[in-house]
Amino acid sequence: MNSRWLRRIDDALFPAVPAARLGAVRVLIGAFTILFLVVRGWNLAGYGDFPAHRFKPVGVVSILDAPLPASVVYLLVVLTALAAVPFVLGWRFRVFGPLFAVLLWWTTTYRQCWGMVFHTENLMVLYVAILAITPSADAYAFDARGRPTTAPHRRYGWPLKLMATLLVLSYLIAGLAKLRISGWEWMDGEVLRVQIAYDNVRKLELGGLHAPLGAWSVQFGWLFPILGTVSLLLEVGAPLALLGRRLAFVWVIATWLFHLGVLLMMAIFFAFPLSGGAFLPLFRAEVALERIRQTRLVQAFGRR
Amino acid sequence: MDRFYGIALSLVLIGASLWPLAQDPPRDSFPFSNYPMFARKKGNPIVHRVKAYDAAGHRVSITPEMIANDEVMQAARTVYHAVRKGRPSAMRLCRETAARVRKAPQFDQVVRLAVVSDRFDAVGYLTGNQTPERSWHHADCEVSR
Repeated sequence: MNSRWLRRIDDALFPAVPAARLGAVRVLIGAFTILFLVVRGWNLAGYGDFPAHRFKPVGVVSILDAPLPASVVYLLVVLTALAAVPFVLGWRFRVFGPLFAVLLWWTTTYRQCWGMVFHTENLMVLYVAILAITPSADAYAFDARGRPTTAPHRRYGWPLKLMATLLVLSYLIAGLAKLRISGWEWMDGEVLRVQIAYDNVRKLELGGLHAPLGAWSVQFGWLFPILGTVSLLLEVGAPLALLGRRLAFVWVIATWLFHLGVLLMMAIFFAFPLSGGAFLPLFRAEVALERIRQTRLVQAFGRR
Repeated sequence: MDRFYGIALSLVLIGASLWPLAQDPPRDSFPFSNYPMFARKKGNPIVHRVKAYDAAGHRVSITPEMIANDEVMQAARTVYHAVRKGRPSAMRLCRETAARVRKAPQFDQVVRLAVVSDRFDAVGYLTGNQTPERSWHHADCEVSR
């Protein structure tokens, strides 16, 4: 392989990008986690009151033989929410970055330890972990005030590449799980149709919020081979999004619509991808952040 | 140094993400998952739940918080695990739920709970037939006040 090709591979894996891009991802993902903790904090703290016999630890929480006292669970949720603030502000980041990542990892894992493993926060937790131990506070951060703007550098590029890789891997793994368990038969749509019916029946019978569109659509058998094929291709084809911004854009739009479909057909809300947060590492996040900063609401807030 | 750190961290996280795929059978965990949702062909759904009744024997809807928390799926899994472990476990869940119902003024009319499983024809249910194909009764308990 000649040196030109090696350089191309190197540029693809370790692209030189401005510090502002990684910093903007930190601010936006951090803001999302604050919103998540505000909305779900009560739910996360509530696991402190669950009976001990229901405790089935997974992930890092497996180091425990028994659940934590309720007061410790409440305290950890509060500390997680508090640590999110300096994470977003980029203040004393060497301390608060990793601290927030550890607390968020622990608190969200603790939620999974009661017989139900949810799949809605995985990427958020991994993104925060990466941002916490990389130089993401070299821009849009209190710690970076007064420092000269640094030139684009590879150290800001690879963390974004890693996050983007974990993003597409999560979809690829979901697609491979379908192929491994149900085979290509998954594309004929019957598995998906019964899954949507199953999910809605369960929610209707348990008094949960169901998806009227999903419940109504199961009578149209012809629809599901199309939905099944598109869903599986989106998942298995996710790595294509790493090949260029244009392909990434097409895949992101299609995947966002896929999540909207999941919401409408099964009332399952994947907030991280639907908010756009999951897809930030694929794009120029600093442009998005600057646009948000230019909005009247943010400017009015800044003037106070 | 940057490059070495980048490669090392990338290998660790990518390896950890792929690890659930390499396990046989695959094991779900967090935040590294095999994302098994929607993958398996489902039969007709068996809905495990706690049914509540008033003094006249009419059914009363109770909220998932009475069983677990505001997540309906968490409540569903809680009943599922209790049922799977057998009758003593189902009875314990029934009593735990009764203790919460007793403290909830909005469910004052509830006098009895039953832990049951009902199997439905999923597609049939949504197109008009909501009668269970089969039902199993696991436990019963009073809500003493």
